Amino acid sequence: MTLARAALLPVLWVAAFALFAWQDGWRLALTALFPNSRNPVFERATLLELVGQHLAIAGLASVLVLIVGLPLAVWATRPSGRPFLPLIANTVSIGQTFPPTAVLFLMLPILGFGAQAAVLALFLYGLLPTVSGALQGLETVPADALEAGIGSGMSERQRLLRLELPLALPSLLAGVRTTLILVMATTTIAPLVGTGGLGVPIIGGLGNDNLAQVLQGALPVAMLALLTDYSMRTLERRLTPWRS
Amino acid sequence: MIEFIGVSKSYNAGTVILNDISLTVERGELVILIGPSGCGKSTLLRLVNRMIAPSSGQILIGGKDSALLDPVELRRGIGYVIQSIGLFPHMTIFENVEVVPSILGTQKAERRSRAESLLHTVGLEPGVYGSRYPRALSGGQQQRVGIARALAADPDVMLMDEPFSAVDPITRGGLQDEFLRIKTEINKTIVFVTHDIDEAIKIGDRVCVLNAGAVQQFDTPEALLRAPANDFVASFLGEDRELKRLSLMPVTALMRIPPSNAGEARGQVLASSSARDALSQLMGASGRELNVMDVAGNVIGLIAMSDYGRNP
Repeated sequence: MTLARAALLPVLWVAAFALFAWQDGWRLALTALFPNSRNPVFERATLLELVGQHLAIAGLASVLVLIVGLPLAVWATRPSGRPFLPLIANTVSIGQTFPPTAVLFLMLPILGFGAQAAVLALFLYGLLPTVSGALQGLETVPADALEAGIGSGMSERQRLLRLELPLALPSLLAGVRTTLILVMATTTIAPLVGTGGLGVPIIGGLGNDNLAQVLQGALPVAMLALLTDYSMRTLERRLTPWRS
Repeated sequence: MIEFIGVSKSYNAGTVILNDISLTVERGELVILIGPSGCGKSTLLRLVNRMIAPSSGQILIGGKDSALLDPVELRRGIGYVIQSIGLFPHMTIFENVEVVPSILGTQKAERRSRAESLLHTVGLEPGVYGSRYPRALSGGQQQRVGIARALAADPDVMLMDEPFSAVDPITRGGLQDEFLRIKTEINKTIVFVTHDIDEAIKIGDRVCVLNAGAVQQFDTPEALLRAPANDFVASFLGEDRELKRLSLMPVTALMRIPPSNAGEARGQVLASSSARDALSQLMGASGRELNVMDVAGNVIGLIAMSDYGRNP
């Protein structure tokens, strides 16, 4: 069962990319679906190029979330950072209450047009699930296990690495998964500040009343989000065999 | 050897938990700390591995002042078993038992063979349980693992904080019997907290009765039951303390030796029984005499109700 799952995952990713690369297939399908459309397929870039741009922006924002968010959550649960715990929790919440579109335009005067503004907006938007998932995981480590760890002579560092982080993993990884999916979907607004990605045919299509192009952008985004979700769930199961 | 010298613990608000405690736990001895909730018994235990720091006084472990030792190093040399067990849920049983050796950098193969022999010692088949996760074990099995984990680095001292009180009475009895057997094998200095007086009498070499942060009496179970130092100790031991004392005494201590009329049909009791169990059988046999039998089936004495009157 788990072996089949693990083997299925790369197959699904390869199949998805093969589908993205099959430009003629999309043209055939979209022409058949929208016979009245003059330009059913976005032609200024191939779908594969759009997917590549999309993944680069979403990936960069997600990596930033991990680099900043996870150490932040760990620090906020250490004695030195604990006074800042409410501040951090509230600040990342505010980051998510701001609509990312608004953040994008607020960033424009500072960062100008381009990928930087998009990545920053997505980073702020995606920070909350990862930080709160990690915080929740670290805060709910069973007290008896911690007591036994201290009593066994584990140093603070050993407790963090051997007990707290592994035991926080279920919640932490669920938070990361939410972040990845959120960022993957929200990257579609990146073209508003002049970058690429799968949002290009969507936003362009909406402007020209071209539903075929909207679909051409939206379907791959949905596929990428689903695949990410499935991959993360597989990873979660792999890393926490003790839960089932 | 553990020495408490004038140890007190109080919190800021002025709440006194322990008041000027001095007592010595000899090497290889099992000392029970017992008393009602809030008497300070757990606090006293946790002072030893510096989970808590004393407000004043000294604790010497093997002659060294524990306040001068690094707490992390100190704890690695002290086995610690707690009521809530606290197995690490993400580690297998083997990994749980090997935690302290792995911190200390013991080689994997050596760790594993030590873990296997310890699991045998506590009555768990390593081949069956070693690779399981704690959640797949019952409470009693988990506490066996907890004891094996505490023994893994072969510490001189073991601290046990109500280790058997979270399991059902039948499992608890079994764990106590097994622990008594393990105790003679491992020869550790053990401080053991409980609120169960029967457990204290059953497994303690000496029992320290605490109340309101002060030692009420510190003596062997037998001496405690025979001569409680004050009303508190007497009431804590219970109205049936003479019966408890009989449970510490073998029936052979009370029986009459010359079996002049051996072989006559009467009830039997094994020589290994306690005087209390023999009394129970006598009551069931409506006061008749019982033959005391050795394991080979020979009659080695006689016991009757009247023998209990001249209780030594």
